[in-house]
Amino acid sequence: MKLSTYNFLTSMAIKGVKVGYPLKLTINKKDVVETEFNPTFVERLLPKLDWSAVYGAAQVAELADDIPAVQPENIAENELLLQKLHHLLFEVDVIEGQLECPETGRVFPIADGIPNMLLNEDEV
Amino acid sequence: MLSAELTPSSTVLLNASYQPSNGLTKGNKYANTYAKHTTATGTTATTMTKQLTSTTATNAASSITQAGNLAPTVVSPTSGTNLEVGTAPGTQQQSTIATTTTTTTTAATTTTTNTNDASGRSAALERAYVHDVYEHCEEPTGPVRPRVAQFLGNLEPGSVVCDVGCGSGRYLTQCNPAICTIGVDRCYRLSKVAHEKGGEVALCDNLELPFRDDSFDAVLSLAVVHHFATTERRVRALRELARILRIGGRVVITVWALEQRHRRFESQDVLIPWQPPKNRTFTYSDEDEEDDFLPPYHAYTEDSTNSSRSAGDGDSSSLSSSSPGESCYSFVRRAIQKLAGGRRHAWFLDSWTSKDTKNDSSLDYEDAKDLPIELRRLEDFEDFHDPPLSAALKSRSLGSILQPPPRQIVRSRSSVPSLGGPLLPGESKATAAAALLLNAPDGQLNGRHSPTTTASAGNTLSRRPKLIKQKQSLCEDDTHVTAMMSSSSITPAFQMLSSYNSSNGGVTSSLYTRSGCYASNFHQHASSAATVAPHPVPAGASANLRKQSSLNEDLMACNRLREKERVRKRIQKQTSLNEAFLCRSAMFSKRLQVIREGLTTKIKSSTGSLERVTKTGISKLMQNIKNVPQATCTPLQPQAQMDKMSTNNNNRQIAVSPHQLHQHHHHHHHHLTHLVPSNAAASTTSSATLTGPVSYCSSSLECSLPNVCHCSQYQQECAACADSEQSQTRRHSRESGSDSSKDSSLQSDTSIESEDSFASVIFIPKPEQHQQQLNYQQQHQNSNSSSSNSSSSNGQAKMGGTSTNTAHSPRQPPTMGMTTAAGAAGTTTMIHSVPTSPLIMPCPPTPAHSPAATQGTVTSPPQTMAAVSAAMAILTPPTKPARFNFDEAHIKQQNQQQLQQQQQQQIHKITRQTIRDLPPIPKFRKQQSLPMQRQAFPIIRRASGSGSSTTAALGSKLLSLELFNPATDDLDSDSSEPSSPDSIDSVISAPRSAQLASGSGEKTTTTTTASADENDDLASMISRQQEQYHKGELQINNASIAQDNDDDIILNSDSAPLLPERRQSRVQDCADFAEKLSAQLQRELEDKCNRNECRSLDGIGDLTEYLASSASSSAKKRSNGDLSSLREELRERRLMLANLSTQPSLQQSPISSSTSSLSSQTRSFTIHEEDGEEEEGVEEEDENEPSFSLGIYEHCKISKFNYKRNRHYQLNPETAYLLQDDGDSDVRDEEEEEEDEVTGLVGPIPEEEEDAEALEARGGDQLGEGMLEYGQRQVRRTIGAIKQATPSTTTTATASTPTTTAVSPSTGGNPTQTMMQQRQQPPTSTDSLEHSNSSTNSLDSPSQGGASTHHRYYHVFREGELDALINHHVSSLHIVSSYYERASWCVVAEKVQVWTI
Repeated sequence: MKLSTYNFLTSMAIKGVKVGYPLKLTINKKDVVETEFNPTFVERLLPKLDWSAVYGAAQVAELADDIPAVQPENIAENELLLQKLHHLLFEVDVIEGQLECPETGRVFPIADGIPNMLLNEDEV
Repeated sequence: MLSAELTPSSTVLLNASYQPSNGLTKGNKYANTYAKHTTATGTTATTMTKQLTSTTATNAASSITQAGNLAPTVVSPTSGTNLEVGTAPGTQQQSTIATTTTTTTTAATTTTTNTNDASGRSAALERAYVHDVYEHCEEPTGPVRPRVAQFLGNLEPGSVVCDVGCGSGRYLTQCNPAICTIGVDRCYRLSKVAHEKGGEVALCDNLELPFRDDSFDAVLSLAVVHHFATTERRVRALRELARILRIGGRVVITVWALEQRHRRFESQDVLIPWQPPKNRTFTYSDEDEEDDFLPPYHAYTEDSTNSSRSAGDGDSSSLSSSSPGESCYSFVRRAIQKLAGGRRHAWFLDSWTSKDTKNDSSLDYEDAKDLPIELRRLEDFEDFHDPPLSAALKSRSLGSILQPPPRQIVRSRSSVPSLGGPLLPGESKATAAAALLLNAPDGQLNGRHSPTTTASAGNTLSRRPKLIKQKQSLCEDDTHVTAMMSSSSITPAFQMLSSYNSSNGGVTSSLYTRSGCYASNFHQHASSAATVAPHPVPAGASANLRKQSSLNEDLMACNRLREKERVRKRIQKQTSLNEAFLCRSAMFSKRLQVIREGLTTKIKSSTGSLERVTKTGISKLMQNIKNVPQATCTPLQPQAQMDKMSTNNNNRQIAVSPHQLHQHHHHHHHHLTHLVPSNAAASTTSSATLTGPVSYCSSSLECSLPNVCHCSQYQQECAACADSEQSQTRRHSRESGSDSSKDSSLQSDTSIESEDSFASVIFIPKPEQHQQQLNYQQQHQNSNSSSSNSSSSNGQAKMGGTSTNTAHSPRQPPTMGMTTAAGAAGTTTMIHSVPTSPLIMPCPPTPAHSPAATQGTVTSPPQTMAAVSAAMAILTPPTKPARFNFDEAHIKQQNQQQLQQQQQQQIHKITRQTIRDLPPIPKFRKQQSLPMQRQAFPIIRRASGSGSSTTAALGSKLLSLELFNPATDDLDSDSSEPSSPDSIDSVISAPRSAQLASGSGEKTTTTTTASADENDDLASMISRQQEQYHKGELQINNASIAQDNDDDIILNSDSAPLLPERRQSRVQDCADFAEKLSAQLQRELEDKCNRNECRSLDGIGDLTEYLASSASSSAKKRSNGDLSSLREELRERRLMLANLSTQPSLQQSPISSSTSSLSSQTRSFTIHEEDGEEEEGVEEEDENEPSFSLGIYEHCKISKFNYKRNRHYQLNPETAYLLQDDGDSDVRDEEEEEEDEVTGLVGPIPEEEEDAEALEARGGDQLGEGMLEYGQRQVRRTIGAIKQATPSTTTTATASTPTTTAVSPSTGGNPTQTMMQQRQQPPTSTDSLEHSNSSTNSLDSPSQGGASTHHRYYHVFREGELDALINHHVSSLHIVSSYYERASWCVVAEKVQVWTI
């Protein structure tokens, strides 16, 4: 699971969970996959991302040094940051780990790079 | 108004059908207490009536729905779909009644309750037929949809796209590198594939997407939405897609289209076969998207025949699967299709993908495989779920497999002419609603009663053809006032009776029937241009009626009585219809007109018309009667005196008279040529009129008479005029009865119609004839609007007649102080009679009153059903009583018809069985099987239908499950049958293959030999298989033979090119088994086969038990009669003992199963189910589930539900576990022996096996147990074949012991079984139980089972359906474009901001 995906995941589908975001990420095993860097792509993607979750992911991925806690204003002009974001969001692949609902503590395991967000019928 | 009411009722029905699934847990309890069910039904009926009065319709509806749930619960705790099918009928009826009474509010409540069940079912269906299938089936990836690729390519850089249902990730990485795509899918296997491709994947459900709101620029939903089983879920999925889409974002939705060039769907809900990955050589394919690209069928066909087929067509590959192994399946399917009549040739006309369409012939080859299974009743589910009212239409149009209600619909659609009864619920409802409306204005009290009556009428009407209903409605319109009058007047009388007897419903029904009679009379008058006066009369009558009705309502007590009354009412209605037919003839019409005129004149104080009427033959008959003195003139006079009261009485009398007439007609019809005797009986009955039981012909008449008498008495109490009124009423009734009898005798046409109706009532053995007769009636009805009305009423009356007769008995007792005791006796007799034989059922009420019994006897003998019925009756009776309890005259009628047919078939089967038993030669079996197969299906179906009808009894639930499927099949004979056989074949094929693999060494050879013999008739093989399934008992008797047959079948399939591969796989599997017992998958496969066998074995097991008692298969036949009697007794006991201990039921069930080999299958299933339910209390829920699953399995086969398959799989593992736990050696030995026997095809050997099985069956009364045993046996056999370590010397007893031990835990109820188990291997039994439980648990996941053939569920969308869904249910989506591409409907929608003011 790329951390870009993590930015979109929520546990709000669980019954009683209102926000369910951001999920608490735990990385047991991660991989780094090199991908082509497209600054425009990252730049346009950023508005769709939740920066706090991005920062949280960076912290979990031990890349918090590269990512500011608050989204900078002119991020488009900071290609270095964009590159770091690219690395964080698209090159860090969580192979093993888990996602935890911040409200219910429900754990969604990540196995083989695939987060299992399936819910039981009684959880919906 | 009518239409509005109809829709709710339909929805309610659907809901009810769905509800059953929810009640799974409760089902056990219900099943345990058959009597409770009856009571519950009665209570529901009472509640219904109360609701009408107190506007607590919702509660009643809920209660009804609960009842429905309970019944269905038995079927499928895990897989609600199966259960749904079985339970649906009864629930539907109940629901219909409730809906009619409660109206929309109740419907809404029911719908809500139902939705849960439905959702559960649909979810289970999706899990079994979508999720699991994708998890196990690999498909080649198809080409990327160009328009989707274009859509993705046009997205702005940085766009975030969510591909919901990404499958193998076709669109995740390739289309546009500048976008961020996140693919989600439910299938872990495909997700891994997509992830390996570099896609970003998550596991989630489309209904609960784990994404933030408004977070995606684009969403893809390719070939996903069509996998949701209900519109509600589809809408939820669409809404979820819209939720995660940002404003301005666009979603691309594609769904499989109903309208396709090369593929034709007869239903929107289909199960598309998908062969296992093993067989396939293809690479991974996209899951859902396959459909989009290519129709699987084509691809497959091409692959199999011509290599030219483009590999790119993933869709085709998915369905067709290139592997030859599929050929077996397809082969079987073909055979089935051929048997069915080769409906689906059109499917493969052109290969979709290639358009190159290679050879049509190739297509033909592949047809069998590709044939999709159509789910008939899913839409009903959807309808329930769907908020829109269109459900009713949908339900009709789209048959849902699971839901029993669809039967009615199906019947109405497909076989309206044949069955005649169940058709056109909507119309009938409409008519009922009209009647209600009419009644309502008259008075609240009347209205209350009327609603019930209308409901019942609606039920009855619904069964009948639309035309009739329409005609009736027209007549009603014309004679609304009159009907109101009659109904009102009648109602009080009935109410009086009912108050004592109990059910308001019965009263209402009687009223309704009376009203119907009136209506018919009015029609006649209208036709004759006479009628006018009725309106004035009704006013006074209505007032009186109101009073009476109020009193009656107070009196209303027993639900059962109500139910009975309802049935009686239905019968009466039918009779009234018959009368109407009679009236059709000028003579009758004139008489009716005269009567009507008399009524009017009564109001007007004109006696001339009445005199005329009396002058007619009725007067003579009346004179014969003691009361006669008043003669024709008297009625008029007293009426004049009584004025309103008299008018009321007259109305009542008239109403009664029509009933009587109808009854007479019925009797005549029943007697067929015995019209004269019936007339005589009528005369005699008229003499006895006061008591009502007079003659069986007059059973209904009697009922009506007593009712009248009661009414009159009541009136007397209320007013001084009662005596004269009573006498008048009696006279009228008598007169009417005589008239009717005369009319019937005189008029051949009417008699024919009445005969038809009789056939239905009587349970004429030959369903076809009945259908024809029904058709005849319908035609007659159609031909003559008035006559049609009458005919329809006749048909209904006839249908309900039987039930009404029963109901009459209770009514009668209340009317007379004498009668009360008689009524009690009647009720008791009813119970007894019901259990004894469905045929008798109509009579049972009468038996209390001697005439009824006579009728029953008379009717039964002429039908020639007697002998068959004896055996069959035993089986059928339980279901019938339940049906009666349900009060659902329609269902009952249908059931009865089905039962009759079944009985007939059963008779044939029995003979065949006997033959089979005697010579285990496969050839004989084949030959027999071929004819038998066809018959068997209808029989089973019928039986199942009967079972379904019985909602109250646990057994009924079980039966209902089975029955429902069969019923649906029958109804949907063309479409459903082929599909069902296909499914069965598919299921069977897998198990067979497993068996072959297991026994590859020995069995394969044997099977090959057998196959060589059997290869000649593949169709016969298929039919055999079907027969085996259906006729588990027969097969059981020839357990070895059945196995051989299976093997033969397998061999046949093997003979087909595809089979060899499977064999290899099987052999490998076998080797694995030998190597590792833990090879559950293989075992599962075998188990599947075993399950199939087990089913038959289960039935056989029961039989074997009997055989064990008799010690020989031949004895089985002998024992069948005894067993039937025993069964009847047991049934009676059950009925008598509301809370029967599981043990007795179990014992009974096995006996019954053993007795009726063919019919016993259904019975055994029901019994097993019941047993299972009972056993559940004993902590054998797991076993029960398997049993259910077995039953479901059968149903599934019929219905082709994946759920069933899942269950089967589950069962298989259980069996495997059991086998493992049990001494493998023993089992092996047994298996080996069995195999040897099979190979040898020695008659005695199979008998031994049967004995062993019988022992096992003893140990496990429950089907599930039997199934387990069989599965174990099979597994053992397979293992034994593989290992062959243990010599075949092990006696059957040893084999039986392990099996019994395995079964024993589950069958704790049966002392003998438990004893056997304990003695033999108590520990093993416990282990087996535990294992079974574990296995069941593990099995629950369909994924485990490695079925050779997988089916995917599709809801194929009609043109514009998806657009309508989005427009109506997803307000935030605005459709940008809609187009058709690659057999799919594609919609591009944009999310818009929705401003709510």
